[in-house]
Amino acid sequence: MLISLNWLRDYVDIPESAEKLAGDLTMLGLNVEGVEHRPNPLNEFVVGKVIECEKHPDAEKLSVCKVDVGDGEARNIVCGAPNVRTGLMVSVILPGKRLPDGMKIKKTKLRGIKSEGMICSEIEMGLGTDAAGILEMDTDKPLGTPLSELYGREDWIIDVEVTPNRPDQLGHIGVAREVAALYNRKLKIPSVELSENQQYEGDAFPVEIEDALGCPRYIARTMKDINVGPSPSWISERLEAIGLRPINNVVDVTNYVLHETGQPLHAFDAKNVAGGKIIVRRARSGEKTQTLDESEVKLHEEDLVIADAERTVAIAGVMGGLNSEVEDGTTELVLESAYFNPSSVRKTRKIHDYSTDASYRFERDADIEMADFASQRAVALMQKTAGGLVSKTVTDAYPSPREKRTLDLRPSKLRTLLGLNMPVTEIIELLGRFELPAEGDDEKITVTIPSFRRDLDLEVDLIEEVARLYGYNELPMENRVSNLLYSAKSEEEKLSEELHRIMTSLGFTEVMTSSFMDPRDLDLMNLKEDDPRRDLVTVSNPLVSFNEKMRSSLLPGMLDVMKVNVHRGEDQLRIYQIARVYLSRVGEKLPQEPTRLSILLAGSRNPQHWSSNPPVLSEGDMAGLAEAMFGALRIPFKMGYSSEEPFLNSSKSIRFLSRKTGELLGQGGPLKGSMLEDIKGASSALVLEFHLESLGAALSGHAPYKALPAFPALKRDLALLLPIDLRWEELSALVQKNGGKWLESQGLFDVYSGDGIPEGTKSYAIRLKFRSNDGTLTDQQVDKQIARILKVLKESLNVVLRS
Amino acid sequence: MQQELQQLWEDAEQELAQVVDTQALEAFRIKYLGKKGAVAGLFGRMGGLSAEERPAFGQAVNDLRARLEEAMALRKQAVAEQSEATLPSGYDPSLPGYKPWFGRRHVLSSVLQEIVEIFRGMGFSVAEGPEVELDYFNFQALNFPDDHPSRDLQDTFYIEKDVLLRTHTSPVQIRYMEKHPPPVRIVVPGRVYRNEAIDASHAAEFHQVEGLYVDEGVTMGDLTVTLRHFAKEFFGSGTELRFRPHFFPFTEPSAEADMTCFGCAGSGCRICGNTGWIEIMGAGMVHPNVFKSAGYDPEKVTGFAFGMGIERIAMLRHGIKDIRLFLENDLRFLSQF
Repeated sequence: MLISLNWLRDYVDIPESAEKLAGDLTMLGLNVEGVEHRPNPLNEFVVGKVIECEKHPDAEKLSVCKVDVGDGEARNIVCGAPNVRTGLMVSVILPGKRLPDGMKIKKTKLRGIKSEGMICSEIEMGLGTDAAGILEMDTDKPLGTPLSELYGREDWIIDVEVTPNRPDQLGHIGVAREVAALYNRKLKIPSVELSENQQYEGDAFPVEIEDALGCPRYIARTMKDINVGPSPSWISERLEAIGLRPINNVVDVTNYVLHETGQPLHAFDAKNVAGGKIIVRRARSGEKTQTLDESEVKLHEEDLVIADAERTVAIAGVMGGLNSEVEDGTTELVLESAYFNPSSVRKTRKIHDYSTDASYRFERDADIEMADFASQRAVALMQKTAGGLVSKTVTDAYPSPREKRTLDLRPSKLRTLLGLNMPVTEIIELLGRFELPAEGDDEKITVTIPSFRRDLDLEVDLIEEVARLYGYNELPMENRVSNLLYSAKSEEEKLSEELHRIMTSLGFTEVMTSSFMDPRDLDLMNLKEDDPRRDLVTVSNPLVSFNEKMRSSLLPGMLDVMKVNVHRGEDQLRIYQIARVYLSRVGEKLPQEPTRLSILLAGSRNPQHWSSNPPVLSEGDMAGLAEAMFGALRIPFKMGYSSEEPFLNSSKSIRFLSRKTGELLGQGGPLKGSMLEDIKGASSALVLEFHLESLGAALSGHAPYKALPAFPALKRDLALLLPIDLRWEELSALVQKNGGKWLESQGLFDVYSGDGIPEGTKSYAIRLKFRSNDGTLTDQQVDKQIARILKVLKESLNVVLRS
Repeated sequence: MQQELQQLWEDAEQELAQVVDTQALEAFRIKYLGKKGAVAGLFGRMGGLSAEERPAFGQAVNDLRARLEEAMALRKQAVAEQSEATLPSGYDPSLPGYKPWFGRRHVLSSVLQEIVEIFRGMGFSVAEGPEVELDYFNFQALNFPDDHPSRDLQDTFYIEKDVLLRTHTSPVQIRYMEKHPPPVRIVVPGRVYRNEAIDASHAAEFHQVEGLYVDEGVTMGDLTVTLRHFAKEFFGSGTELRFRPHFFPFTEPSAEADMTCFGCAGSGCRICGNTGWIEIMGAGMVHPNVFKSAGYDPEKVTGFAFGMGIERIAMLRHGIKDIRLFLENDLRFLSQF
């Protein structure tokens, strides 16, 4: 909210600079978001004297003057004002300077005669509204004196952030009250007294409230014989200073008082209020009205409206109607000052998506007791600006006045919460500065809550008031936190940290992608109709369609990352993400949010190097990666073939299963080509996805120590011929099973197929390592075991030694 | 005899000069100093000497052995140095080396981790909660009345009337307190959502770390000390914090914390808008209504809570200008941190 420092100074003495005040307000809780200095616009104008004035030879309405601005020169200035004459003291602007509207003054020729500047009227100086002629000044200031020394003032516009709990600060008086508390000064409230000759004995203006819940209070004051016209400059300047457009001397006063007191007001042309009465009711079905901004609004039955005998004349607390606005020619008015129910106004504002200065304040709960003061203040001001008489009879429909509230504050509670041993007298003194009358003792202090402090609801609210005036940063610093408290890491945290460590050490870069997904990706992924991942958690009110569906898989996000990077020329990708997916659950309000590890590889196996071209990634990289990962996690696993993921190349994909639980840990494989169609320049990618929950269950706890071998191992290499479709896993499982207790490890070290071996076979070279814990093995012992392995291999898998 | 020893030494010295690898060195050792080596042979001849000759001869052989050992040790070192310098032929140290893959954490993820670790060091445990949340936990239980303007502070994505995407990590305060009796000391990292138009400084999804400490007699002093410690650990030991009154429905008194600007150390610059201070988080004493929602007795316990935006903190610390970079995952960006 914008506050004018000059305006604020009406209500409290502020000798401090704007910057100092801004800093102090911020520390008090009224966060200042900016201070704008508005220099006096009259700095540009100087006092001048017309020493000669003659008619322009070629233009009837122009005069040619010689003007002295104190520098001893007689400047030629052509002037069009009817009242210019020799000897006049005038306001002059010289070439090179700018008018408040931004226009730059230049040396020029008018009908052939040079003119070095301009003699100004009030309106040209932005000072008033008189455009009839130049300003005639009565001054003894030396010629050349800037006009800013005579008229106008510089100002500072302070932008304060008012939190939603403090509607009382939505007006200059409210902010002034904080300033008064801050500097311990007196708040000056303007007088609203009217003299006898400003009033008349009028009839009470009838107000019917059909909906007392929506409108607990409605005050109507009437005026007659007013003269609607432009506002005087002291009103219009202030409104303009805080960014409002002046309209006329009645409407401007309602806005002025709103920004002074925080109480929204509305003036109706009394002659356009049909039937001479006001009815506060809910809108009728199908009812329409035209608001002041000339837009037609279709009313909702929940909208509270102000109506006359025939029609709606305003949307209560939001905006007035066009049909009853105060305009030129209005002579009688009804001034509304009411209190509307916050949630009712809020509902209407939301239905019509229409926020005004009035609705903003009513929604935040305006001050019901301020309504009368604001109404009096407004008619007093209108009487000044628009003349006329104010009716002595006031309608104040306020059937159930609010009761005075008190709130108790226990000094002991304050001391505990703030960690500050503040004496009772000081607590009472600080509260008093906020106009919170308080009395009591060490047991209990009772505070009377003024109507404008609806935010003060509990003891802690009062404690905050004391604390912020005392200064948060003055509170003693304690250090109880050093008390030991056991802070355990959950198993989930440990697993996730471990995975991060493993993945980064395997050369993967972590990515974080959006929680939302494009539902079209479900089709791209080729998911079956009954795949639970199709049942997306859906946002009902997204601003953009991108934010509508929550991801059920990390894959689309990973592909987005691939796309971004490939398109920018980076096709070497080793990325991973550990994040949640969102899966709807039947019969549950909230979805399941399991955590997944998603991995994507594309490009070559090793980083590019000048020495050789590294091989392109293959599905073997996937198995190797899983082996490294599971090895580091010490999760015993086995691989199954042909994952059912419809977006993977099924013949080359792998399912990873826990040996401990048999559960599926994750799956991986090369993406089908169709998945990458959208990514120009990418031909293949390997993806893997693991379930953190299953990984957690598959962990085998702390590693048990195994004694290091005391005896040497014996190695044997075998070259085997095997059927071309036999998988390594099958072969090695059988070797393991028949290797005997001494078989320590086996590994594949060469693969060959092609010339030199029979059609339909391939050759694997494997290395077996045998070791006993009881002594050094002999060749004979190992040969016996090898023979047994070879026998079984031949019998069950048709695998033979390559001769 | 003396001459024989001298000859032996000279031969050995010459031979040693030819030794270029460890194998040859070992052969040398065996030949001269081994069990059946030349020195041992000399000692073997001691028996044939007279008692008068023996001491002098013994002394001379011992000297010879010491000299041989010394010379061999020197040679061994030379051989070792030599072999280190022998690299694969054709190696050119001016060419780029063989680089392994190098992986790293996402900058947000590592900032989050770092923050959590600082609080863990002060006895805070990590707690988590769902991102798709009930209105009750996100708003009502946190003292946001129904249909109140304070709800406008956070534009909300709704799934249905009472289910939404959490707008802050604070619902975990309630969820955690409902399940654990005091004392409670937790930090809650996680993703949160706001239904906002996205630009360089606004994101619809971002991350927060929430903190909560509840016990008997927790004061505002505890709050300021804890957060001051955090700021020094995270931003550097010269960092100061100041606390300004503010409004949050779920704390009272509420505060916003500003830290001294790292750009100007408090004297005012462009980064801090000439104030010398940068807002980094919200905090306050837990509101009694929040305790009541969670089933705690506000007469028995007090507590503090705080919350900070991770993107903001990461942007401040690293000078990142556009919040959208975080979820875009351009590797040229990710590899900078």
